[in-house]
Amino acid sequence: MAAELEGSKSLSGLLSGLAQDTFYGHPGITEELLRSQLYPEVSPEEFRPFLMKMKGILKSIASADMDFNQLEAFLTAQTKKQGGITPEQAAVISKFWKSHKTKIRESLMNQSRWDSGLRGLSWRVDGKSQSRHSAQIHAPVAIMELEIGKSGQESEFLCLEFDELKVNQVLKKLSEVEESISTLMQPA
Amino acid sequence: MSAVGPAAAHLHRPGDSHSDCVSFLGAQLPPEVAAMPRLLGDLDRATFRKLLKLVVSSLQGEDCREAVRHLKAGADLPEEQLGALIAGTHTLLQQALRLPPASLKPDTFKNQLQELCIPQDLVVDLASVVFGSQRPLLDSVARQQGARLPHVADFRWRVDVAISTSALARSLQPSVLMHLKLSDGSALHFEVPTAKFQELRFAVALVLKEMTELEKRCERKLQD
Repeated sequence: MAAELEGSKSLSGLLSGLAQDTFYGHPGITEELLRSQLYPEVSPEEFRPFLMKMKGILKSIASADMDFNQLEAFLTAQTKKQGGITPEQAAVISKFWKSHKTKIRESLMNQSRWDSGLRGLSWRVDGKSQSRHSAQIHAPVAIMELEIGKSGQESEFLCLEFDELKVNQVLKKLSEVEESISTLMQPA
Repeated sequence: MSAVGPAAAHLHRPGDSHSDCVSFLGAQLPPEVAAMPRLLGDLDRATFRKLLKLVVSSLQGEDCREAVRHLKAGADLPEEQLGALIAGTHTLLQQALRLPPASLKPDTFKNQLQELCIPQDLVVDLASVVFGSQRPLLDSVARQQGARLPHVADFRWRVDVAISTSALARSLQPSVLMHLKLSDGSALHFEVPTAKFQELRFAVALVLKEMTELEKRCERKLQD
């Protein structure tokens, strides 16, 4: 393997670039860009298989959402393979995955979310005092603004009104949901 | 109710209440109410009771067009006068019902109507609507009729766990799917990731706490 390809700083940069392209969907990160920025001494013919190998490794790790034990085992196996990676490269990949794991996982999960999702929530509590129909109401009312949007699209904002009874009912249902999730996620 | 007649007449109208407090009808008597005594004098009581029933139904949110047609057919009153009476009675009752019973007492109400020269027996009928057994229903309708944002009429949920996806071989991430039906007829469904769900639950609990505290504070301060 060419000495230039062993440099860890460049590899770290390469992995970041691959993540941007493969996982976060940022456009414009071409093979030529990566080579010229990170491995200018290396020829395109030599660079391509190297890039493909790293991409393959990163994709395997991300797709399996490897924990650190699995990661160590996987990378060790890669170092022992013919045409695999060096221990130094394994260390760089390991470090990269440890710091980017959560973000990459979130991004991958979003790729499989096609429905609208709740992006944000704001609220306020008002005291209703008067209306055309009633001079004294004294009722607290909650106004919630839900930010809802689909992946890659602009959010829609929706304002809803709740009286105390309704808030109570919603809270009760959310508790049911919470219980359902807890039961589901308990280790078998 | 749109103002009738030239504006100048209203500006120079003398105060209608002889007592110190402002009438429940406001500082300026609505013209449709001012027109009532003149029209009520000769009206037979049966017709008035039918008219009153019609106005009460309308205040309860019912569609009264058929009832109005019926009344018009049965009464020997010109259409304009009937319209004026319906408008006047509606305004009168609506203004009285706006105020809580603690603010507008039955005697005050009756006195103020008498000052307007509304016949005594009709005053009794009107008072029975405002202070009688129908009041709670009229109050609850009024609460719902106020200017409002849409509210949640129905709320359903589902917890899904994505086992595997095209992007992640092993996902195992629970997600809450919510389906809301709103009061304006529209439906909303969206996914709530676990982290957002916790945020939502916390926010709703906090809102409830704030509302309870606000209610306690309001009760203490806004007593009449």
